[in-house]
Amino acid sequence: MIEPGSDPDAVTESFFDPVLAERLSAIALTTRRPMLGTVSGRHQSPHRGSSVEFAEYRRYQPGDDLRRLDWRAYGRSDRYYVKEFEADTNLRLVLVLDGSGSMGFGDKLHAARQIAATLAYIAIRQGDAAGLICASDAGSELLPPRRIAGQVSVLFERLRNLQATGVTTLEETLHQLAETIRERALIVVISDLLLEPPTLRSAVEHLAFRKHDVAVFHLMDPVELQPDWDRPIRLDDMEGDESILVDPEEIAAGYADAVQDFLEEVERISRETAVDYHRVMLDRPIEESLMGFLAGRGRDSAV
Amino acid sequence: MSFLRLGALWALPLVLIPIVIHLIHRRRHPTAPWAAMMFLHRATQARRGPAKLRRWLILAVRTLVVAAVVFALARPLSSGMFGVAASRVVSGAPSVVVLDRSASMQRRTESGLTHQAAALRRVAETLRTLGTQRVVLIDSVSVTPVELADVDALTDPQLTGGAASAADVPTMLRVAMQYLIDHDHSVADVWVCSDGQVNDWRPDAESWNRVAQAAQSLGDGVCLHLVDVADDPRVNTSVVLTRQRVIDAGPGKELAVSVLVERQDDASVVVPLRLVVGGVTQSFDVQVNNGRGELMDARVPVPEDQDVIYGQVSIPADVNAADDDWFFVAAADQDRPIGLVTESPCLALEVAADVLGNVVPAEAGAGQGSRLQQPRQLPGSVACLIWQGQLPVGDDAAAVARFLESGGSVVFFPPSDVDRGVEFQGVRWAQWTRGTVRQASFDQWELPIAASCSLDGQMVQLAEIGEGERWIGKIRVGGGAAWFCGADVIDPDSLFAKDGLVLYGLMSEALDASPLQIAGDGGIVAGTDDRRLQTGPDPLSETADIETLLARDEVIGMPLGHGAGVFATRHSAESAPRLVAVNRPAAESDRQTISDSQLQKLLAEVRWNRVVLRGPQENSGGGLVHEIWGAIWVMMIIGMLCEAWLTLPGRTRGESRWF
Repeated sequence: MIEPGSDPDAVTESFFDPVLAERLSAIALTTRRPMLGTVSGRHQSPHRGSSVEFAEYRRYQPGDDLRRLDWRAYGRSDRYYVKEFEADTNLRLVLVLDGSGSMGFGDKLHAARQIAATLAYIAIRQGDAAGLICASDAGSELLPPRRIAGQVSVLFERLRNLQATGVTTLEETLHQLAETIRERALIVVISDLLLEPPTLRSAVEHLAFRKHDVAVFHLMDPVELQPDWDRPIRLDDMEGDESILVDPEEIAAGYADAVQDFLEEVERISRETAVDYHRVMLDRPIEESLMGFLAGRGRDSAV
Repeated sequence: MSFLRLGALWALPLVLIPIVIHLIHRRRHPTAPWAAMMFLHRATQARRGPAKLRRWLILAVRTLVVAAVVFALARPLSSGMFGVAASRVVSGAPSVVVLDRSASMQRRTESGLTHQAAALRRVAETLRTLGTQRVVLIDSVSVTPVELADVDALTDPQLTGGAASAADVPTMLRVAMQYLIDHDHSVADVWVCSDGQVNDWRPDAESWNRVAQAAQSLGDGVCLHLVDVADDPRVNTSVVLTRQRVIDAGPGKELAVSVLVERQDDASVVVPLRLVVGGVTQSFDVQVNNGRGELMDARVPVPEDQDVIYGQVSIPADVNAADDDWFFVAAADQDRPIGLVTESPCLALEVAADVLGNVVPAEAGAGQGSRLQQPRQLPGSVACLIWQGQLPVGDDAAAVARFLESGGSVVFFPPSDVDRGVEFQGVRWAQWTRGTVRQASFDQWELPIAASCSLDGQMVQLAEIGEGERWIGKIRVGGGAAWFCGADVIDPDSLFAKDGLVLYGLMSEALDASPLQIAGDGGIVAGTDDRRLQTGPDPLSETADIETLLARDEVIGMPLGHGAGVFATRHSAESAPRLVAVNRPAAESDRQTISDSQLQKLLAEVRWNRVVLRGPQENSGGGLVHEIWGAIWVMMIIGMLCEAWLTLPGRTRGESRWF
């Protein structure tokens, strides 16, 4: 059982690097939007609360707690003002893991597990809730976000049992998630995004409409960007029964253009829907992506 | 297009190699799982069409390059006309060159080359290109097949210089066919360099039948290529000496010449004429109208101590220098030779012949000066033959026929007793009508005739007697003509003999019609088998002692009788030299050429084609065919450049190129 704060050397999961997690936990996982948590936490809430951070003055309304009247302001202006403070709440982190067959290409699934496990560990370690849902046609049961220490073990167990198979149901899963989670949450999508960009746009817009903070880890194998075929090759679809005979000379230029178009379109959608987009190249250390993710959010929340 | 190495085309299936490699390449592919099918779908939708086109283009270019290599190995030629010839040459078949060296072939092109040289040069270059190993030359002078050491010998002036004699193309072709038959060459190409002049091609000659028979026996393997140079519009002028005499003019001797100048247009021009005698040149102007001008009896003084005078008349050199000179030998009042054959002495004919020309002495019996004992020796010795008696039969008939074929004239008079069974050239004497005086008319003359012999056979009627009875008729045999006159010339009291007008008119017409007389006194038509050219006792022996007195440069090394000029020949070292003048046949200036339809008719069994060199072709050093290595190499280079360009990776955006 892995518990936050336990000895990192005792952790034996291949996709979880406790040393890395400990190192990254020095940076707080924050949100770019106010969260609606169930308990008090370190994240900003949309409501006024009892934190030490002053928010604003508001004219007194009948029924307001008289203890919150600012008598000094009354003395200066002869009017009743209520002094309001920011409310702090906890974060709900929902990890959406693409479990389609295409995630079995190269080390995509392993990388996805690494990212999910590390983020879940950091969230729970800082007292936030973390949950998980796998998007695959094998079933996408949501592990609801919880802040209990045992959640990590359950989540890791889910990750361990995850198999990359079938066609992707990422779009349906995201829509379903938008309808299911009513409270504001941080939705982290970890996927190779091999779906038509318009469907991705539709899904993330749905989540944004529900005021969720959406982040995407786009996993890409370098071979997908630059295939190393030097002769005609038959390619079997990892998400279906399709098989295509490919002549590298024939499709070289078209493939490169298609990849380029796709990446540009995904980035544009992310920009337009305020998605926190991170492309993860599998030939680079995962730490770079996670560090960028965490640091970037820290900057955004500070602003 | 044709090929020198036809066998190399068997390698053409090699063009399939790129296709086979392509198919093998496509079939040998590994299988791998792939996630990003979406990109593949997009790529195939977006670029598959152009990429497929490019791939097929590359395949086509590679195939074409291989094909070009095969074609280059097959040594392609630019002209398909000689394609079969090319492959035959490679297989060792000979090429026979039939060369017309006649005077008409000496016409020059605008660049200065003669038609003969231009055609020969092109043929030589063609044979060189084709790589012909065996070249056989049959020229119009020797009419004998000569195997040349190599193609370059075709331009040897000793073998191929211009001659004054006419060509006998059918005979040369017959000799060529016979050569091929004798050497078992059923496959060969015969290159005929000739201008197609009718005088050389002789469409009426009997030899054509033998050519056709030989061609038929050889089959389709023999192909004739007629190479000629197209005439340009420049006008040619020719000169002919029609008569020359040495006249005793009181204080000294004078040479009187009559000259005919002909032009190939109707313009009125004055042609300057030079008369060279004994190193002295005299100039005259000849007015030419409607293509013809005559200088009649122009006289120049000659040394009194010379019995025989020779010289030449010349006009300025023009497009054909070969017909701008005429050589002559003149003796004192010698006239044209007339042969006389009578069954009994005939005073009327002897006198008439003596008046009109020079009666040739008999071979045997000086006392019988009016009779020829051996008629078969007629050709070349006389210009005109007067024959009184039974029509010739056997060897005599053959000799007279040959004489007629060579252009001679013969006048026949009936014998005392007619033998109706004897005929000559389809004409026979019918029967005598005596005792009845009838009116006969000939030309503008009319006279009463008491005895006449009627004629049977096909002929042109020139005179009639009585009620439309044929009295004088004429037939053409070869280049000559024969007259048949039914008058009684034996009876010295007959009005025909006494009056003499019709007799003289008839004999004069026959003399004038004979082209043999054009050579004038001592003159010989080049190429004819004239007895005066024989110097030894054996008529077939070579002339051992010949001195060229006056001639053009190209005559040097040419057999006597084929080059124009004045020559001195000796029977023996002790004998006095005999001067003879040799000139071209006057018909060589005639521009009438044989038509394609005539050729088709004559060469019915022979595969033939005609190549007429025009404009720049005449002078270019190239042959009628060219190996087109250059074009093939250029095609290959272009093909490889195209292939390289097509296989270049296309440009993509950004850095996401993967090969």
